[in-house]
Amino acid sequence: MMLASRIIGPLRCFLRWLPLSVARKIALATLIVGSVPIFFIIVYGIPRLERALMGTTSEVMAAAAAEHNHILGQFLHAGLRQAAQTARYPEVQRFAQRAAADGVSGFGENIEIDRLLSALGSEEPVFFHSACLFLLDHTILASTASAESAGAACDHATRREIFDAALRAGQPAVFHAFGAEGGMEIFFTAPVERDGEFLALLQVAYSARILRHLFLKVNASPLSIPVLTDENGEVIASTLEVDGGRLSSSPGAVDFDLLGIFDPRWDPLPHARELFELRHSLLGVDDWLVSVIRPEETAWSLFYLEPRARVLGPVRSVVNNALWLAGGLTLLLVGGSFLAGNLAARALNRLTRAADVISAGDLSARVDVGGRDEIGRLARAFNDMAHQLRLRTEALRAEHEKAEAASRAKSEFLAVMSHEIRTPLNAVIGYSSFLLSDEKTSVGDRESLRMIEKAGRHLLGMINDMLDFSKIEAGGVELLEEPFSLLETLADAFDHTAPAAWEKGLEIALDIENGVPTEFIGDAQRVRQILVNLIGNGIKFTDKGGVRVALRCGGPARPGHRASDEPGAPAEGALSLDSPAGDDCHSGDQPGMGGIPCFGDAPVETNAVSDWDGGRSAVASSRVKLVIVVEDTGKGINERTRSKLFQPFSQGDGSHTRRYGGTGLGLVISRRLAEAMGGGLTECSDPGGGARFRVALDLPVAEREERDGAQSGTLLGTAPERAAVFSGNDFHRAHLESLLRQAGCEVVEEEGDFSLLVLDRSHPSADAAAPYPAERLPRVPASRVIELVCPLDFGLPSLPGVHSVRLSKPVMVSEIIRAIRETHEKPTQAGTECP
Amino acid sequence: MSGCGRRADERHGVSARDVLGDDSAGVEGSAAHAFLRDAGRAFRGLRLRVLTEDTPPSLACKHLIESEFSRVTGIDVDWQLEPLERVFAKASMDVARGAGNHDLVYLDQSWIARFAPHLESMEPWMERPDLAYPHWDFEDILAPLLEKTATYGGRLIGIPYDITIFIAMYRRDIFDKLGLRPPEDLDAWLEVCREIDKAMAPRVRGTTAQWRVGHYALLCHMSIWLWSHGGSFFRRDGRAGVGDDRAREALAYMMELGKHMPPAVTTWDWHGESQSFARGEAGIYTSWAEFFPVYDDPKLSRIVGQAGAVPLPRERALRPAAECGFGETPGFSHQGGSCMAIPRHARNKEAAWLLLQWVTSADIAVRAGLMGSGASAIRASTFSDPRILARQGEIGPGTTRHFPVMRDAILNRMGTGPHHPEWPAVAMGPLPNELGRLVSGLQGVNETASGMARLLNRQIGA
Repeated sequence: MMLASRIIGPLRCFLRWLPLSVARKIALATLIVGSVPIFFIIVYGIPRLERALMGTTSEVMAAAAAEHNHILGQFLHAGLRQAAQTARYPEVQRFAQRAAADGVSGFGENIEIDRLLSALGSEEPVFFHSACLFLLDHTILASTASAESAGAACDHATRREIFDAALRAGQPAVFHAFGAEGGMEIFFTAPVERDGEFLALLQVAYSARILRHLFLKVNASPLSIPVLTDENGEVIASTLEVDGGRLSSSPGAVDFDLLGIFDPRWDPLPHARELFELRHSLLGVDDWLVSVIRPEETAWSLFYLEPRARVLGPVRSVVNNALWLAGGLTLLLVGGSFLAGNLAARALNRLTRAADVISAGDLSARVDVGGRDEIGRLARAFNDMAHQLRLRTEALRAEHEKAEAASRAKSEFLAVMSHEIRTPLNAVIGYSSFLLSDEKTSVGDRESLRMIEKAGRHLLGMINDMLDFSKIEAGGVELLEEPFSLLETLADAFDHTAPAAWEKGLEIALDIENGVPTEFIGDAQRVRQILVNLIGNGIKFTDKGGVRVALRCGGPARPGHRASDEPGAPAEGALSLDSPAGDDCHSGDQPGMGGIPCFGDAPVETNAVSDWDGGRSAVASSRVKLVIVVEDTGKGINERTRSKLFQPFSQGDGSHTRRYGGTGLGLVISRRLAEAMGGGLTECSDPGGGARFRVALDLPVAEREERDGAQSGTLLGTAPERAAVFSGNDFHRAHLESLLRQAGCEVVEEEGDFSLLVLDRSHPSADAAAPYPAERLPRVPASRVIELVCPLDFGLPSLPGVHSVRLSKPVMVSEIIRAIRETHEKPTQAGTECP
Repeated sequence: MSGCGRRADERHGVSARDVLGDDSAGVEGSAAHAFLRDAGRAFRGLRLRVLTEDTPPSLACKHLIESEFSRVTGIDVDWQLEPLERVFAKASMDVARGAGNHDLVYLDQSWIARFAPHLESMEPWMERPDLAYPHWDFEDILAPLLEKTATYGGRLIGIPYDITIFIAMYRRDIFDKLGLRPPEDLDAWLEVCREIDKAMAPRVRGTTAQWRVGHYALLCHMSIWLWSHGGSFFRRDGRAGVGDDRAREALAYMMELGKHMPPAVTTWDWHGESQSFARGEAGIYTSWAEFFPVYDDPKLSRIVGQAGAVPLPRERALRPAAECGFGETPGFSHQGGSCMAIPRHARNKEAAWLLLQWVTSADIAVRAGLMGSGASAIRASTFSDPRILARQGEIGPGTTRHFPVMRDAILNRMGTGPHHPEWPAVAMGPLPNELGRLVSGLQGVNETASGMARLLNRQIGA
C-alpha cells in the first residue's frame, strides 16, 4: 500500500501537470502502470531467476562432471586391477622367471600366456590395443600384437619412457601417451614379481578413444561436452570431435564461466581459456559454462562444458515470451484505455462546449450524450440544469423588464409631477420676491412674505432634487460639454452655501493642490450641484468647526507625496484633509471596500496623462481625474448610517430627516452625476472623525488662460515674506498658514517679527478688532495687512491707521498672492475685491 | 532376428479385449476355442517351457497365453523373456547338452544354420490331423519369411514367429519446414541429412543410427549400406565380399552419414537409436519397422503424429543372391525375422506343436501385431485384417500406418544375411568390433573392410 501510494501520488501530480488530453493522460497512466511490472521483471526478476538457474546448473553440472569422473575412475580401476591380477598369475610369474633366468624370449610360444594376455582385452575388444609382457631390458616376452607390431611399439620412444616410469613406480600404474600409431593411448602397467624379485613388466594399452565412448554413454546431451586433459593441458579425451579428434586452438573468442571449483587452491579457468580458445567450430557456441573436477588417480582434469544458451535458453525464451506477452497486453491496454478515454473525453468535450455556449448566453444548448453510465447521467443532469436555467432566466428577465417598466413609469410620473408642481411654485416664489421688493409692503407682510419665499424655495429645492432624481432614474440626464472654470464653480457653490455656514459659525476652507487644472469641459451646473450637495451636507451636519473642500488631480503617482508633508500642511489637531494611507472609501453599496482612493492617498489614476507634471503641461485634449474631497468636523457617520448613505430618500436614521430636513436624495443624485461624468462618489470618513466624501470626475481639460503666475502658487520675484496669522479660530488659522506657505511665505508666530499680517476678521462670534494686538500694529507697515472678512461683513470699517487689503472668505492661494502683491503697491481703500 | 524389438516394459495402450476377434480362441464357441479345449485335455496339467527374446510381440503372446491358451487347454506355459544374447546362449547350451530344457525356442533368422541340426522338421507335425489347429492356413504365411527365417537346407525347421524389417522413417514436420522430400536415392538421402544438419544442428541432426560399438546392431546397420551399394558379405565362392570396392564405398558412405549423427550413436543399439528419434534428435533414419508405433505414443515420444514411413531409397546397385554365398540375399530392407522351433530334445513336443500353432495362428498374428508393434505380421491375411486396417489411419498407440511400407519391404526389398553355422559367432562379436573401430575413429574404411574380410575368410570362408 505504501509503495502504491508512493507511486500513485507523484503520478497523479505529474499527470495533472501534463498539458495533455484526458484520453492521452489515461493512456500514459496505463502505460506507466503497465510498465512497472515489466520493469520489475527486467530489473529484478530476470537476474534473480538467472542467478537461481545458474546455481541449479552449477549443481547439475557438478553432478554430471562427477558422473563422468566416476566412469573414468571405474575404467582406471578396472584396468589397474586386471593388469595387477594378470601379473600375479603364477603362470605369468613362472614364465617371467624362467625367461629372465634363461635369457630366452618366448614370444608367441606360450599359448597359455597368450591366452591370458588376450583375455585382458576381452571386455573392450574394440579399444584394446595390446597387452605385452616385457623383461626389464625391454625384451618382449609375449604380446597380443604381432611380433613386428610389438617390436615397433617397444622401440617407440614414448613407450620406453612409460616403461622406465613404470619400473620406477614399481607398482600398478596408469599412463597416457601418443602411441606408435599416433593416437592417444592409455597404458596400465603392473610389475611381475616372484619371491620379491622384480622380473618383468606387464603393459596393457587401450586407445584413449575408449574414454570418449564411456563419456558418450552417460552424456545427457550432444551439447554437453566433457573434456579430459592431462597436466600439460593436452586433450586426452572428449566427446567433441574437431579436426580428426583433436581440439584445435585458434584465436576465437570463447567465453567461459566457471561454475564450481572442487579444489579451492586450484584455478583452472586460465588453463581452460587457453585450452578452449577454439574457433567457432566448437558447435558454434561462444559462451560456455564450465565445471571442473580432478580425478584422484591422476593429474588429469575433467572439464565439463555446457553452452550458456542451453542452460538459460529455455528460461530466456519463456521470459522473452512473457515480456512480449506483457508488452503486448500493456500496449493493448494502452490502446484500449486511450480509446475509452477518448470516448469519455469526447462526451466531456461535448459537455464543455455546451457549457461554453450556455455561458455565452445561449441557453438553448443541449448535450447529445446517451448511455446509462456516469457520463450519460451527467449529460442528462446538465441538460436538466440548462433547461431549468433557461426557464428561470426567462422568468427573471420578464420580472426585470416588468420592474424596469414600472421604474420608468414612476420616474416619468415624478418628472411630470415635479414639473407641474414647480411651475406654480415659481410663481409663488416670484411673486413673494416681487412683493418683498415693493417698498409699499408693510413690515408685517414682509415677514410673512419672507417665510413664504423661504418655504417656497425649500419646496422648490426638494422638487428639483426629486426632478433630478427622476430624470437620472429615467436616464434622462444630459450633461453639457462646455468649458467652465472650476474656481468659479467653487465660488458659486460657496456663495450658495456660505450663508448657512456663517449662520452656524462654521468655517469653509478651500485647499487646491498646486497644479490642479481649473479649466475643464463639462457641465458646470452639475459639478456645482455636487459641490453644493456635499458642502451643504457638511454644513448641515456640523455644529462646530467647519467644512473643507480640497481639490486634487489624479495624475501619476508622486513618490512619497502626502499632503501633510508639504509646506502649509495643517497643524496637529487642526482639520485635516488627508486620510491615513489605506483608508477605505465607502461607496455605500460596498461598505468597507476601497473604491476610488481617498483624498491624500497617492496615487490617483489618470487615463490621459502618462507623465503628470502638476498640470502645467496638460493639453486641451487630455483628460484628468479630478478629485474633490469634502470633509467636515461634524459628528461623522456611523456604520448604520453608512449603509444607507446612498439609498434614495434616506438620511441616516429617521431623526435626521426630522431634524435637518431634506429629501435624502442629495448624495444619490451626486453619485449618479459623478458616475455620469466618468467618476464616482464615495464616503471615506475616518472612524470617530467627521464625514468625508470623495468625488472623482473624469473631465477633459480645457485650454487654460495664463494668469500672471497665480497658478504657480508662489511669489515669484519677490522677497520672502515673514507672515503672521491672527485668527480666533484654530481651524481657520491653520488653513491660512497653509495658504501662506503655498504662496511662498514664511509663517511665523504672531509674537515674532513679521512683515505681513493676515488678520481674520471673519469669525462671526468675535469682535473684529478686539483680539487685535494694537501694540504690534506699529511694527507692521500699514499697507502690509490682509484682512479676511465674510462676504456679509465686507462693509466693515477698516482698522484704524491701517491700509489693508481686504479679502472675502473663502480665499484661495492665488488671491492671497495677489493680495500680498497689492500690499507692496500704493495704499488702497480697504476691501479691494472678493473672489 | 527380432532382437530389435522393444523392451517388454515399453507396452503401449492396446489391450487384449480391444483386439479380440470372432474367431479368437478366447471366444467360447469358436472353432479355435473348441479345438484347444479338446486337444488340450490330453496335456492338462503339463508345463511347457518357452524361450523367446524379450520383445513386444513376445510380451503380447505371453499375456494372451495366460488369459487364453492356458485357461482353455489347462496347459501351463513358462514363457521366458530374455535379451537376444541370452536367448542365444541359453538355446546354444540347451541344444549342445541335449537337455531338452525348452519345448519351444525362439530363433533369429541368422541362427537357423547353427541350430538347424538340433531342431524338429515341421512337415511331419503339420501332417498330424489330431493336432491340426482349425483354419491354421500354412499357405497364408508369407513365403519370403518361410524361406528366409524358417528354412535351412531344404528343411522347414520352424514356423515364422515375427518379422521386423528396415524401412525409412522421417519427420514430416521438419521436411515440410525445410521444403524437403523423402529421398529416392542414396545421394538424395545423404543430401537430406546434410540439409537438416545444416539447418538444425546440434539440437536436431540429419540422421541417427544403431552404431553401438561392438554390437550386432552396428552390423545390421552396416549391412543395408553394404547391400544397397551392390556389396555382400560373401561371394558365391564362399569367400568374403566385404573387402571389395563396393563394400568400401558402402563403409565410406556410412561414415559420411555419421557426420550428421549425434555423437552418442556409437553407444546406441536399436533402442537408443529409436529413443533418439523419439526425442526428436534426427530428421530421417532407417531402422526396424516395429519401432514406428512408438513415435505415435505420447508416453514414449515427443514427435507424436510427426513421423512418416516410406520405402527406402533405390539401391545404387544390388548384387543378385545367386552371386552371394551361404544363402545371403542382398536387399535394402534388412530383415530381422525369427521363427519358433521345437528342439529335438524337447520333452513335450506335441503340446509344443499345439502352442506353436496357436502362437502363429492368423488371429494371434493380428492381435499380437496390434499389441506388439506389428512385428508378428507373418501372414498375408494380417495386412488385410479389418482390425489392422482400422488402425492404419489413426495416430496413436497401436497404429498400423507403416504396414503398407512394411509389407512392401517384406515382399519386394527384403535383405537376408548369410545362413552359416559360424555366422552368429562372427556377426555378434568380431565383425561389430571391427566396425566399432571404424565408427570410433580408431581405423579407416580400408582397414576396416580388410579386417572384416580377413575375419570372415578365416572363420567361415571356403
